[in-house]
Amino acid sequence: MSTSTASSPGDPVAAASPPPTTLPDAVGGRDALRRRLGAIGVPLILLALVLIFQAINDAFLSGDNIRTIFESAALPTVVACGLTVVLVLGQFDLSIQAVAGLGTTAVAVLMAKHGLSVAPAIALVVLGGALVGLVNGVLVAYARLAALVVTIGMASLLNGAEFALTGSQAISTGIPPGFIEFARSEVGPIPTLVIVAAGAALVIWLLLDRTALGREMRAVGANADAARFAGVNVERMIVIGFVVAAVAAAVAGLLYAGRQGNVYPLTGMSILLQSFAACFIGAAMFRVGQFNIPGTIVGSLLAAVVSNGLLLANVANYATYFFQGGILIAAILFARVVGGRAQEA
Amino acid sequence: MAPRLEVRDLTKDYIGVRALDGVSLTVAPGEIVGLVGHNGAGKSTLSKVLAGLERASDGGFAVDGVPVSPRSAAEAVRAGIGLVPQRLAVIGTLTVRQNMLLGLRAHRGARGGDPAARLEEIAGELGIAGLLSRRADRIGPATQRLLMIARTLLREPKLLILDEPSAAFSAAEVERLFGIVRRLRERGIAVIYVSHRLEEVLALSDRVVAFAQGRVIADRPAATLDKAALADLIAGRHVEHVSTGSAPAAAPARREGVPALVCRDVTVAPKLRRIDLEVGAGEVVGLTGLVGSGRTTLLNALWGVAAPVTDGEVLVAGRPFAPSRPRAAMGRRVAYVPENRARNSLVASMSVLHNVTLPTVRRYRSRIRPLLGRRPEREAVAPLLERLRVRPANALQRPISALSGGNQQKAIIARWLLIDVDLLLFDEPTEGVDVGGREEIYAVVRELAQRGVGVLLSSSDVEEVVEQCDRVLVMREGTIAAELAGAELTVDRVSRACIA
Repeated sequence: MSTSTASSPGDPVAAASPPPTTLPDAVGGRDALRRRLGAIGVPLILLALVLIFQAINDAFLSGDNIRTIFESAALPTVVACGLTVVLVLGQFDLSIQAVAGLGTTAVAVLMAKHGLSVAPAIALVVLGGALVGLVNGVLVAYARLAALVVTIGMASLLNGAEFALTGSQAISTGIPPGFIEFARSEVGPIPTLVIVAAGAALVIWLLLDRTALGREMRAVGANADAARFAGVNVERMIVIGFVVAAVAAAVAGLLYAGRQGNVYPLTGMSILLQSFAACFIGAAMFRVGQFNIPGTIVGSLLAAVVSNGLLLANVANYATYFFQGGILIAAILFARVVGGRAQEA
Repeated sequence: MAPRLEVRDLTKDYIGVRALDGVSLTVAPGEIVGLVGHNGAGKSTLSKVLAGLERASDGGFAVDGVPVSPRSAAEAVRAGIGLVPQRLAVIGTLTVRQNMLLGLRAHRGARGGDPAARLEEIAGELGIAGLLSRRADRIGPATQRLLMIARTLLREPKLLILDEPSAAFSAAEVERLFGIVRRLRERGIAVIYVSHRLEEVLALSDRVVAFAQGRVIADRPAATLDKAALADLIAGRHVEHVSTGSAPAAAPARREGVPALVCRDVTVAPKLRRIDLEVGAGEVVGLTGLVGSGRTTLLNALWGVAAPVTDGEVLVAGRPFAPSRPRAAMGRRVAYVPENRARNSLVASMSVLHNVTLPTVRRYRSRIRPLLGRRPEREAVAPLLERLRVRPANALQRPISALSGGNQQKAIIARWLLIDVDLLLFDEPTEGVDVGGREEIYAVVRELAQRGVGVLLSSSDVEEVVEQCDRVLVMREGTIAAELAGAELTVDRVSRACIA
């Protein structure tokens, strides 16, 4: 080997390591079993939880309650799908909750205080979300700052902006009724927000799995050096990823304003842990060890099922925290065991 | 009395590559043994196995007659083996003293004693006692090397392995190092001194062991050798091999027409200066030189990654070329297969198909515009893999990590066969590739050349460039030190040009 001057700053271990030791494709039933278990393990757990909750309270599987579960999962799923893109790139975004929160507040302020009609208000908020993602992405990709810290800082800035926008006042009147009705409406038996969420998830799934952009993003997340040598613009992919995540969060946030009908600063969706949990639980199924949209959706549903089921089972409210945290850690552990080497994020 | 170190039939296999092949050697207490050989001959692998960083596949070794098979660096240290690796590894934000004591707790009890008192003593012997409170990033690289040696000596090794210790040393510093090593010898510590610098090995060692292709090819008292004899020894085996090989009888004359690549006075600060080279269309030009001579730096700069070209002129297919990023180089019909496949080429979690199409994925659109078409992609790649005989057949959907090294490399080459290229930059083409795979890769290179592609083939394997290239350029310390072609193009001549 001659001198290694790859793009990543100094990598002693990789430079000195022996040639790649790849094993011929492992055969054997045990391996196949592990893979199959990996693909369906989490969905099985979800099924088991549904059966248990139904056994405890037979209202659980009523049509109304199923609708409630899906409706409560809709907006968090949009945020989680956006986050999946950032995670695929091997990055982190801790500002998504703040982006969603500001989206909620900003759309309400624009309509209630500044008299904008619905369409321009939405457009402005989406644009603002894109701008936040752009700043995050540029700081991470080009200035090479740690995503963790950049996005925590960004979250604090955005939280401050919520107070500045509202003057620390609640907005309880002035949101156009049409906007609220839309967010609470149903198409046939299906809540409109569920349809919106399904649409957003479909778009992001196509982006990740069926476009050149998505392919390049996966390569960047898996081996940024190799992607760069193959001609992928690594920095641009990272910026795009942060923009997608922030736009998804902003869209979910603004729809939340319609769903609530009134807005208090810093009382938006509590979705940070939930989104990360959905993505990591999702990485424990289907394509085990890799973040994927179908997995994220199931992960998101799992969270909704757990909080709803515990509520119906009359378990103390705080138990939800135990369950969500516990399931998250169990899922990552599971992915590690069945996947052999899940992501180390 | 048992030898300090006795290595018996030591073999180390990586998949498809035998790095050590039945190595046996002994080192007596208080003996200094010089270890020489080309890059990849097995010196570093031996050091790593002895130091517990790699495990032997077969055979073993004993220290003072006690068999040991260390599973970690700490176990090797307990057995009395200390390795000072080639790479500087100090923690800059800690003081020299803290660096020396780093991790020592874990080893305490090996041979007792008070580390603090020994520390002062060793620092004094190495002449760094005055620097103990200095931060390690405030001392020069040569002093950092001494710090690493001091740290190892603090573990009271019975056998000290120094891997290329003098790379950053001035002549005076080398003398100081020699003094230190000789004092160790007087205390009965055995020393293995691994170096490319033949004069140093001859001046310091009691005995010289030469490696080639994972085997010991010579083991002689240093007094019976001079520099020329030693260079012969290292190259000798290669010469024999070549004479039986099937090298092309006469190098084909340089093709007519516009050269694929011209570099004039190319400088890549701070490592490379004033590189002049030319690769004709249809010509395979070899680029060789020791580790650190700057080959990879040059290729990376031409591809627009890492350090950029800071001065001079580059022409690709006759037109000026300012390498800025890989996409731009691709646009100029340049392709690059970098060294260190696992790090720089493979996306291990992706399929063979997706690895092959990574640079060109944007082409394979379906009728629905932004979406990819699966069939066009498969149809472009499948016949290509068949032509390159990538095994197993129908590997398209398999993870690329399931392929052998040679087949992985062929898949990476396939990437660039999807594009019409004029110039192929190829770094360490057969690194981690088994013998059969090598021949197939060489065949692809020759076929590309016949189609008029200029190939710049960089390799630390002298034999490889001599056999596969029309002409060979030798790099030394960041510039082109020699060009060999025709009758001059022998392993012997090239090897000497690398070292001289």
